[in-house]
Amino acid sequence: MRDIACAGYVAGGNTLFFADDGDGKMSATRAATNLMERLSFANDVGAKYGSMLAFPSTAQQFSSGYLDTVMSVTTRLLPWEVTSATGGTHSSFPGGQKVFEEYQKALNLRSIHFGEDMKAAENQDFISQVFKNAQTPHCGPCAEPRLP
Amino acid sequence: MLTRNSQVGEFYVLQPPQVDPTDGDIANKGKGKFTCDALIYDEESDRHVRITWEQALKACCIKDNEVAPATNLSHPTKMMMASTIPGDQKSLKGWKDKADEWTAFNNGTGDVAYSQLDTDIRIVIARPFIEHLMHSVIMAVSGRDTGATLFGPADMQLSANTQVKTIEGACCARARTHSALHPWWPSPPPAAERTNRGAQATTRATSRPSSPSPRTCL
Repeated sequence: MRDIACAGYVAGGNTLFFADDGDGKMSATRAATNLMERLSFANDVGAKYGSMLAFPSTAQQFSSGYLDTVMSVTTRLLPWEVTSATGGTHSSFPGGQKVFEEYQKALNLRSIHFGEDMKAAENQDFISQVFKNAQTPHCGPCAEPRLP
Repeated sequence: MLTRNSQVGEFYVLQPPQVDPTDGDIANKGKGKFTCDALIYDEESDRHVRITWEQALKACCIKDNEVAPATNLSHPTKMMMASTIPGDQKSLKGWKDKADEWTAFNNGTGDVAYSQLDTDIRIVIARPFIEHLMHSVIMAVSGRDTGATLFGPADMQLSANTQVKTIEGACCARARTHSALHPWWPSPPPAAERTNRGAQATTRATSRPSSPSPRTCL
């Protein structure tokens, strides 16, 4: 089926939940495993991987302005979340900081950035050395390209 | 052209119907079917796929030994806060109870009237690692916007060296580039300092007709 996908498509654009074990049953353990398999291409590049995560939220969080057009799904914060004296919290994450901590544990979200060359990123050696996994989904469906 | 793997991420928000599709009559609960679902584009199969509220709720993995139901939300809904069940006001358990009622409503089997449902419940579906091979480009200004390069005076001399039977040459040229670009102004620059205005006169004879910049066509 990938023959009809966008030219240059690699992965991550289907509608399978990471938590899905293939039988419609969902579990966080399965999600954590599938997440890492996807990011490391554990089953070859052309294999079928999950793409989606689901989180609880409320209209109040959207109207509060904390979650409007962008969120961070990893341990890294958005630029405007790091300004507090305590180091910042995941206010943009659906459900807020405490919910993020739960999902961080259950899905091992901190591992998303494992293997990245932080020094190369800081030196802006983007083109030659750095590959970063995405951390900031934007409000869809018009996903905005993000600097690598 | 440089080609490398790049990722983009996006998220969608599932929300229950904000207007009662049953017209206030629980007997019309069949009209509530599929009203919480979303269609999301699947690039691998090139079609839109229905993501049901029930699927998304299960994918939240709120249960014991996974995502703890006792965890508190930062922004609980008004109906959650009005709950009389201890611990349900802010917790994921309270949120999930409300979301489960919507699951039944969305399946057309619910026994709870629309007016009793919490319309402020949301489910966020994130697709964070959409990966493509992408080209990179370098964009730059063109034409006179890049400035004028002036050459001269150029000097070229050739001489014969009969002892070693070679011809030697020496070339000298000078070039100077005058950039018409200004780095940045906090406010619009005075008219005399604007690019291609004032001192740098551009005429129809010196302008480049193919230039996309209207400023070069006085």
